[in-house]
This record gives sequence, structure tokens and C-alpha cells, in this order.
Amino acid sequence: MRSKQNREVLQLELKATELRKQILEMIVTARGTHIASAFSIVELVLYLYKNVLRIDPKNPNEEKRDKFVLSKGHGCAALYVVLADLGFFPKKLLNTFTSFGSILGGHPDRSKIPGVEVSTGSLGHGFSVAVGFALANKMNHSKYRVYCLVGDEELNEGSNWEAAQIAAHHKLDNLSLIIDENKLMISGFMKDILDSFSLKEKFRAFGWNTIEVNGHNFSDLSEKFKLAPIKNGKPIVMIADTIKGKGVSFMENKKEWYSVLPDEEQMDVAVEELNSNIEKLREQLEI
Amino acid sequence: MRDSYVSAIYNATKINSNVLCIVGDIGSFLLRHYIEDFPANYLNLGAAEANMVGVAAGLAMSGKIPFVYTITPFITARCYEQIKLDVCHNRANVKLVGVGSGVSYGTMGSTHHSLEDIAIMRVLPNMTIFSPSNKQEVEEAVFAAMKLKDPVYIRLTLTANSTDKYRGKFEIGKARIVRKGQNAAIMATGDMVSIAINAAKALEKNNINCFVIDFPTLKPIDESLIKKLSEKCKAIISIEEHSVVGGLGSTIGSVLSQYPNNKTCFKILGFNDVFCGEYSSDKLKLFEEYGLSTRNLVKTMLDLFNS
Repeated sequence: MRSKQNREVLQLELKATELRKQILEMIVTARGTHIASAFSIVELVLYLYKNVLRIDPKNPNEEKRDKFVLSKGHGCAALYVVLADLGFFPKKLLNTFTSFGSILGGHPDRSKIPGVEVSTGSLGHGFSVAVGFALANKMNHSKYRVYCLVGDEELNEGSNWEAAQIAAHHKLDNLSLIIDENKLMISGFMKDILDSFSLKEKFRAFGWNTIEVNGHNFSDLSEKFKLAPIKNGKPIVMIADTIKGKGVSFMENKKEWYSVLPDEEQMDVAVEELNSNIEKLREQLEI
Repeated sequence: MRDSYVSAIYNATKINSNVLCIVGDIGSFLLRHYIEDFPANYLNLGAAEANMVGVAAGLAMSGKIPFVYTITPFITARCYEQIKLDVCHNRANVKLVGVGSGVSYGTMGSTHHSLEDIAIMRVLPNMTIFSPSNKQEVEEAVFAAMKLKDPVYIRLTLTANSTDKYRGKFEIGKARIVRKGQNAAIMATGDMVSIAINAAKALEKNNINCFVIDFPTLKPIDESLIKKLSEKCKAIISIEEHSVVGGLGSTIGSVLSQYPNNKTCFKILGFNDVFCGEYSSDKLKLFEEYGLSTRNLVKTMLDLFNS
């Protein structure tokens, strides 16, 4: 008999794998892009919505709620499948991804999608808006928290470092920044093109609490999310070690999959791998 | 105008505790009473304007009414994408307040001038633009902005300190007839309104009776008054402390060119697609150099009227 904790982890792994398959099918059907960028954040977004965020899918504008900002808006496919899974909007809408009249565009739009707090897509915007949310919560003495997910390449944008400075100065310990550190830029590895050096040291120097986590490991995510909130007057950055394209072996850590779509043969291989993993997880869960 | 803004934001905060006064590290002396009386409503977010506008959008989407105040080029051009996306696309209730617009910082050079701000702000959907011409209109603009649940840009100069009272209430999208005329009109905004009044007085002896129209709202523009005057006036001149490209004149020209009953001749006065390359603490000298003086306005009207 598996422990309850192990079972929960397996269930999350199964869900993450199923969602990856949905993301792949959704993007390929729409002839869209950003498969790999969505794959690197599946566990992060899923864990946040399942286990961390206090948000009611049936009442997403309820004033008393945690807020999540997907600053790397191009990874929105991961957000859409999680929101649909939790009932923010009907799952059948996923089939309309980026089509005329759909609420689900290539970047998320708050005026259209229930549960989307901020329209994002241009890099370097969401973090500042999240700081605004956190400041407002402090002003209103609200106990609710703000979470913002940025990409590591996104941190090239200088506005993020303006936001980091303001968040620390205003002691926003109600703010968690999560960095999807997948180490790849559009053109190749960051270390070869524009090295971000140690994000941990940078954020420490900016006056932040830093936590490192394996962004694909639910046990580690569970452990590290338990560490936050840290009520020491400092905002928290969770630097998530991730793999771009995670979940489909031939896409992992390959810059090409930032924008390329698989051909028919590659699609078969990808779906087969995901199906096989789904099957294994079902067996382990004895379902 | 700075004093008028400080007093207006003070009075606005007094009646609505959601009003926030955010600055990009300017005005701490002018705002000292505000800071003392409303410490929880005041934020100095430093010389980091892109972030400041994004933060303001987050505050606005949380129910606050942030007025974000700094020197005009830094609250418009520098953080333009944040204004376009975080504020306008998200339809966040942010009020951007630019001080020292046009060439108000006459000795500072082009880094501190804004001769393009109306053009770039006008093109953004969901944006309303106010351009007060005296102390009264600063207060009116701040209160109108507070009540309007949408993005607003307020363009302040430094020198329009006239305490003249305009009659009639301030209405968003309505221009003010500050001087009645018969056969010509000068359409102005900001500091140019007083120059327009002086020119209109001087033109009387030439039997040109000019309306002087003040545009405290630049977007939406008062199309109906422009159209009405275009049927009545032989000549209309617009004058603005801004580039001739994309500002008040361009807006009026667009209305006139699409109006079939337009019977007027129209001329735009402004900075003629140039940077202001001269320095002076006396703004009137800069206006003289770039064709925005009372003298040049009178001459241009005489030429246009008699053409």
C-alpha cells in the first residue's frame, strides 16, 4: 500500500502528463507555438492551482483571493489547461485555442478568460503588476498572497530588476516570484548567449529570500512551497530548475522546440511517449 | 501648475481614500503637506518609471486610484509599452500626470521636453487626455480623472498659472469657448490659450473677430464644436506647445477633413517636426523662436483670413 503522500504525488504526475498531452494536441491542432515553454511550467502551474492558491474557480473575481500572474504569457497553454481542468471555463473551449472568436489567444487576455488576472505576453510586465497587487494587499491589510511566474530569459528585461528593488524596499513578504529557470533562450543556451549568472545571488543582493526547487518534482515543490510564506519582511523568490520541453524526450533542452511544430511522425512519437507514461502512472495508482 | 496639482490631489484624497499619489522621485517638497497628512496614500517609487506604471496598474486593478506623477517624457515615452499594455490594454484605472510638458523645462534641453506626448498617448485605445490651461482646470481635470474609471493622461505645463475663472462646468470631451467671435477661431490648449486670447484681442482692429477655444480635453475631442465653427469661420488656426504631427492640430484637421460641410481654411501652428534646440528660462522666447508667439499667431491669422 502506497502512502497517502506518494499517492498524491503520483496523482499530480498523472495529471501533469495528461495536461502535457492536451497542451501538445491543442497547440498542434491550432498550428500554434510555444510548446516547450508551456511544458517547462506544467508542474509549477498545476501545483500552484491545486495546492497553493486560494481561488474559487466558480467565483474567480472574489475579492478575498490569492492572485497569480503568468508574466511569461507565451507559456499560456499550460495555464489554459489547468484553468479548464479546475473548471474556470469549460474544457471544450480548449479546442478553440487561437481561433477566431475564441477567448483563448496566443497570450492570455484578462478581459476574456475567467481567472486570468493580467493580460501578459510582452516580457517584463507581469512582475511589476504583481508588485502592485502585493502593495495593494499590504495597504488593505489583506492576508492574501500574490504569485508571479517569470521565465529566466524574461529576466533580461530591466523592468524586472526595478520591480525586484521596489518589492524588497516595501517589504512585500506577501509576494512570491517563481522563476522558470529552463536555461534556454530562443537562440540557444543562456550561458552561451546572455549568461544570467547566479539568480540566487542576484536576488539575495536585492534583499529577497531565495528558495531553490526542482520545478518538475512534486515532492520537492510540496516541501518548498511549505517554506513560504516566510514572514520576515522579505519577498520570496523560488528559483525552479526546469527543462524546456519537459515530458517529450526529443523536445527536451532543444532550442528548436521554442517555436517549431512536430510533423506527423514526431507527433506520433510524442503522443506515444506521453501515453506510455500515463499508462505507467495509472498502473502505479492501480486505476 | 504644480501647486494647483498638489492642492487638487490633496483635495481628491480627502474625499476618496482610494486615491494614491505616486511619484517618480520628484515633488517631495511641494507634496510635504500631502505626505504628512496622507502617508499611507503616498508612494515614491524612485527613478524607475517602467516599473512604476506597472505597479500602478496592479494597484488600480486592486481597487486603488493611483495618480502617477513625474516629468512628462518620463511618464509617457520612457514607459510607453507599460502604458499601452499594463494600463490601456488591461483597462486599469491609472491616472498618468506629466508635469513640465512641452518645453516648460526650457533650459534643460530635449531630454526634458515633450513635443510628442499627445501624439503617442492619443493613439492608445481606452485613454482619455486632459490638458488644463489654468489653475481652475487642473483641479477640474484631477477630479474628473478620479471619477472616470478608465486610464487618463493629464498634461501639465509649469507656467499656466492664470487664476482666471472659466464659466461653465468641466465636461470630458467638451471644449470651452473662452472668447466669443464671429468670423475666425483660434483653437488652443495649455499655455497657448492665453497667447490665443492676446492674439484675438490684437486681431479685433483688423475686423477679425476670433473665437478662442480652449481644449481641456484632447481625447475625446469636441467634434461638434469644431464642426460648428468650421461652418461659421473663414479661418481656423490651431496652436499648441507640441509637434504639428499628431497633436491638437492633427486631431482637428482629421475632424475637418472628414466633415463635408467644412467651409473654413485651416492652419496648424506648433513645433514644426523639430526638436527645440534653444535654451531659455523664459518660455516666451522659445515660443517666439518656433513661431508660437502672439505676434506670429496674429500674422498667420491675417495671412490665412485674407488669402
